[in-house]
Amino acid sequence: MARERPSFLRRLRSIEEIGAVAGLLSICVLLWLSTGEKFANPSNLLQVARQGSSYGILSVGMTLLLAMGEIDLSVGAILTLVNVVTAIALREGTPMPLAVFLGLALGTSCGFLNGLLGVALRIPTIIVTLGTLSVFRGLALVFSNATAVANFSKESLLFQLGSRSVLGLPTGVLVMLLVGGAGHVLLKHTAFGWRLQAIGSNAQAARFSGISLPRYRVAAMTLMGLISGIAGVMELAFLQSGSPTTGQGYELYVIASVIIGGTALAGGRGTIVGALLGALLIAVIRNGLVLLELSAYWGTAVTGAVIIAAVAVGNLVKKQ
Amino acid sequence: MPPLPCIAFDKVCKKFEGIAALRNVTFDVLPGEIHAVVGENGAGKSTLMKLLAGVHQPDSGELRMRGQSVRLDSPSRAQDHGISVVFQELSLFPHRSVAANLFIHRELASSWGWLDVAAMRSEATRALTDLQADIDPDARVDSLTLAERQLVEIARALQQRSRVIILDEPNSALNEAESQRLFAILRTLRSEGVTALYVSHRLEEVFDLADRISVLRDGEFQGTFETSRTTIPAIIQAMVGGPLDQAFPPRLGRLAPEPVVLEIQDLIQGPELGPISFTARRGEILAFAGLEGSGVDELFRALFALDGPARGELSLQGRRLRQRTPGEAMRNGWALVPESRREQGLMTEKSLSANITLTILERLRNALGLMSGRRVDDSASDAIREFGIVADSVEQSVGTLSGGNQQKALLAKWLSTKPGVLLLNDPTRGVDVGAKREIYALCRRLAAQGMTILVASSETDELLGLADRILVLAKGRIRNEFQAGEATKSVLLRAMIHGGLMLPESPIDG
Ligand SMILES: Nc1ncnc2c1ncn2[C@@H]1O[C@H](COP(=O)(O)OP(=O)(O)OP(=O)(O)O)[C@@H](O)[C@H]1O
Ligand SMILES: [Mg+2]
Repeated sequence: MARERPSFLRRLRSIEEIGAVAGLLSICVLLWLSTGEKFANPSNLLQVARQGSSYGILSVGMTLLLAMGEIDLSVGAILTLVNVVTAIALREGTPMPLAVFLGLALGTSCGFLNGLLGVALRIPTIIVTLGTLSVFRGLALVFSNATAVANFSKESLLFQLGSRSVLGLPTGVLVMLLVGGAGHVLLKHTAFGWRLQAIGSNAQAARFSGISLPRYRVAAMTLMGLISGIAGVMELAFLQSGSPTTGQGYELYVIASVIIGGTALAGGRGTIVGALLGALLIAVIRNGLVLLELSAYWGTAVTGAVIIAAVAVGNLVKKQ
Repeated sequence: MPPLPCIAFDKVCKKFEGIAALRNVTFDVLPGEIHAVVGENGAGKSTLMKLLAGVHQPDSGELRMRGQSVRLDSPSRAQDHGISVVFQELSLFPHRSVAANLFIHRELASSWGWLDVAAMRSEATRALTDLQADIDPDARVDSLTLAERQLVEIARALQQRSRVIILDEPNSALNEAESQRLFAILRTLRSEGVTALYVSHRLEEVFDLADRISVLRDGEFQGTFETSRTTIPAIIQAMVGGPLDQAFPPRLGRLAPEPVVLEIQDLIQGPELGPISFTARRGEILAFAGLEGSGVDELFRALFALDGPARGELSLQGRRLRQRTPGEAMRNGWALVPESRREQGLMTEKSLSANITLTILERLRNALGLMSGRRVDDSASDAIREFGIVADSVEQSVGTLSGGNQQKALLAKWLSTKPGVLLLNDPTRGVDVGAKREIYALCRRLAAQGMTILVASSETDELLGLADRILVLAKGRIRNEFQAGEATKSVLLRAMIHGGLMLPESPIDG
């Protein structure tokens, strides 16, 4: 059997992240051409990256979940709850490290609860989290009396770093890269990650292979909770106040980031590099709408359209 | 003048990603004949059938039906040309009812579009009764056994009343009796002028059924033979390009009986299974025979703890086993090669290496605890070589391998765990004659090294040829026992059918 050398184009197409890369490049070029320096200057670009990092951090956990065929709709709500509760803890005089620890523990518990409810009550994760989305968001409103929580000292390291750059990068971006790196290693280089993908690819065969589906489901959901907690604390560090309205609608941007990145909605495989690029793409789009001085209402509509376009472009490039 | 061929392949070529699956295939199928297509795993049989099904299109060459050139560029075009297909890999909708599956895309409806559920149900019942298949048309397909699904698939194709029917290993999960019913129906259809293309690895039944046999090897056509004027060895010669030795390697004469290592006491799971007690020796190949619903499948599932913990006692080498999940079973050194490779066995979208190594990921980590890509690939390459899997590379996705090679990948996946107790449920389904021999030889070799093997099969010959001892199940209990060489095919079949009557109570212990 003679084997033909794969062409350059075919190899290009086999890159999972090709859609996100193509989308990101073309949108950047478009914005550069239409707004010039306003878009393509370092401080704006860093600002965009900072905004993308909120989606980006969350998209790392979401990639793991989609790869195993699950989806979590409550990530934005967990982010809000952690954001508000950590702020309240600080306001009540809790030392910063303890408050952060509390916030992360809360996020992790929320994720664990999501997983446990799904497994114990035999409800699909998407349904469980559709419910807990409202529960967590409601709790955030109750705890904060529906107002921002800001009256605490901003002297601590968290807030010093939160609004600044480290090594030339906004702290949020740095954290995103760290979480992303860890997630990438977990997904592609550990037995745990391979088994998640096996479950997403064929759950029944995975069970026949001795993999405990409930255990992996709870573990992945718990991890998603921890990651949402990290995103919530980073949001607090950047905004310098806890707000019950932050994180609204993030779940959709996050899922979109992951899919634009090249992860299959049907499960079985995932790419965290792609998800981070996807998150960046969404941040660029939102930034572009501001620069082009479109009204916020138009912005929402256009964002949605561009998400569909980006996924379609990715598919076209791959299928050609 | 000879009749116009019903189907003519003319210099048909098909490549997948640069690799030829069919090369210049040219032969005719006459109207009203049963025409068998045989060849080794990966020879291109299914690819050829999929050209007629409209699933794939030829890269070059021509398909003609009754002298007319046809372009079958979609499955619905093929249906329009009066072709219906039973695919090798089942193509049913698992969450829908049997009746809904039988009428998919051909639903019966009133003139204003209201679906006529009652009519579809009664038509479905009729189609299934023709096959003497006792299947509820309202049952969801995912509640059926593999054999039942295969019957539904066959009923669906037969029921379209097409002029041409293509059957790609349609009875690989069916037992003797079910297969004979299918053949009877095909013979009736032949007398009505229907043309059938029939792909199978079971050469005895091909000789029993087909008028003519076409042979493929490595994607190339080797010739068409009149069944009445050829022999099985001649066909095998054409398939593999050389002679093959006998099917079942001789049993190893043992000097002393090996010790009993596996003891099952009063195993019960649900109302269907048990109590079952038996023992097995080190290095013994113990076969389980039984009809559909006899409890053989359930026994294997229960032993591997797939349906949660079973009641009763399992002990291995004198040690009592705690075996409540498949994971625990694996840690106790058990392995189960499941019956349905696509559903229970493999991740079809994923690579060969990901599939083969899924059960041994822990062993393929580097010093840091991370997966070592090199070790994974090495381990997969070793398995590919050892099991003779035909694939482009370890990266080829399993779903694009030929059926028999998927089966070999499944065996490789489980044998790489180096189990002490191996459960094989229909291990040679869809595997070609040569590879079957290799698998039998492998079983003997593993047994000689001390592995205890429990095997079930839809092929009675396989049980007779392979096993040291055969236990016959009916209604969830052991009803009969034969030593190797003690039973013949007819005795065993009779025991399977009448097992419950011959020995109504007392199960026999090993
Ligand atoms: N979709 C596909 N993509 C890539 N390769 C394919 C695809 N389908 C089939 N092949 C390759 O084409 C060759 C012929 O496969 P085919 O399924 O026709 O074999 P077969 O004769 O039916 O074998 P078996 O007896 O095992 O079912 C194999 O080498 C297989 O790997
Ligand atoms: Mg085939």
